[in-house]
Amino acid sequence: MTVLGKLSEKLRTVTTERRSGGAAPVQPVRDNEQEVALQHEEDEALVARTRRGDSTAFDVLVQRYKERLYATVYHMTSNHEDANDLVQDAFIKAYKSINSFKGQSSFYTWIYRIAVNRTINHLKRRKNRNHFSLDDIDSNIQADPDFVELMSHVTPRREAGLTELQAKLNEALQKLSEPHRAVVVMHDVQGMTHADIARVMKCSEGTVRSRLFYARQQLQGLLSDYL
Amino acid sequence: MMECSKIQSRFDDLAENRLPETVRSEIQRHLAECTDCRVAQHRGLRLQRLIAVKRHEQPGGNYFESFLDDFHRRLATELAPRPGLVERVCQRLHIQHVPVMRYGFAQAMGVAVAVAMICRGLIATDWIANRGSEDRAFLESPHTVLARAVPSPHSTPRTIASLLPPTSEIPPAGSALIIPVPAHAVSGTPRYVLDHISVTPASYEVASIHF
Repeated sequence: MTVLGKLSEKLRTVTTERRSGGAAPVQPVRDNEQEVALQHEEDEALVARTRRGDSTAFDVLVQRYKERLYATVYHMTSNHEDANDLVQDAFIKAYKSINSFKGQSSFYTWIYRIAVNRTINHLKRRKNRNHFSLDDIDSNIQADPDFVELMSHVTPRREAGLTELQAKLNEALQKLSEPHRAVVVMHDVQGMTHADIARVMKCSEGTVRSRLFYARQQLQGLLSDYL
Repeated sequence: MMECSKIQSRFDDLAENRLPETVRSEIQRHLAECTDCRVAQHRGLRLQRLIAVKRHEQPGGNYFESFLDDFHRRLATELAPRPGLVERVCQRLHIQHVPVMRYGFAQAMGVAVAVAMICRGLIATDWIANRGSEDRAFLESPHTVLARAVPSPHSTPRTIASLLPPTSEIPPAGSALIIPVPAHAVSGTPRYVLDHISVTPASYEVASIHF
């Protein structure tokens, strides 16, 4: 390697360290006991550790919320690849701006807000270009009381099968406006309370109720065959 | 009595027991009387059950197990410095030793600009030296040129006449006469030539000029 090449390499290393705030690349060596202890720490403590440069603490936060975030984003986009990208982006954004997190809301609300806002922006950009990439339905569905109850009122249409029902549900959801879809997903799929949704979407509980009401009215029209 | 739409917007709260007792009893009283709201409540519950089926859509394989590794990979890429324009061009053209090229290109650009400036200077000097006497007037100050081309306010009629075209070229009475003024002198000060001529302006009839 030439002298200039070596210099350039050095410059690259310094720039990386500076951009990451000097915290990211260093992974402290931990034993199992410490990792288990981290798993039980509160979000606030993990955020504080991340701020001090302990990226393993952030890993625990990622592990804690990845499934819930993924589910929300997936149900909003009806696309596995988009959901994967958006959730990863949300965690990266959160990691990079962890110092700007004031702690006025919980970490969960904050990361949720990042993910939902990114998803809404993404959906607005790709308006009218819906491409479904649906996840599989797990086998536990047969034991779900809601599903059993739903299937107890069998009509010829409903016998069409789960795959068609899944496609219809996703199609109907994609016809809602982005804020309405977000509210329906968070409440009816994720089971979040009105208050939590209001905090995530930075609006009043009244607005959440109103959005839910109008979204459900629209969905009842779109899914009338199954009701 | 609450309106039907207001009642229907509180069905979630009613189902989750989040209403004060007075509101709760009022809604239940309304539901007992209003068939539309009862139907809406029933359909709403069925719709919620239907949407809840989506909970069973799960990514296959070991997606969540590899999630953290993917995150680390993406984070590392995100934190790595982005390649500059020159680097990207070099990468696209498959040119090796990009870092060296980066500095080499900057130096080469600097040298090229310096050489271009020096050449421009040399060419300009030669060009001036080789110009003919006519063109040298171009370098004279606008005042000198104007003094030569345009009569001063104190010029005698004879002087002015010497500036006019030969008699044969003088147009007949009634037509316009234009005193020739060099084009390059127009841009100098004073801007309006006629302001400094005490005689009748050139655009007037020739017949009005008396020598």
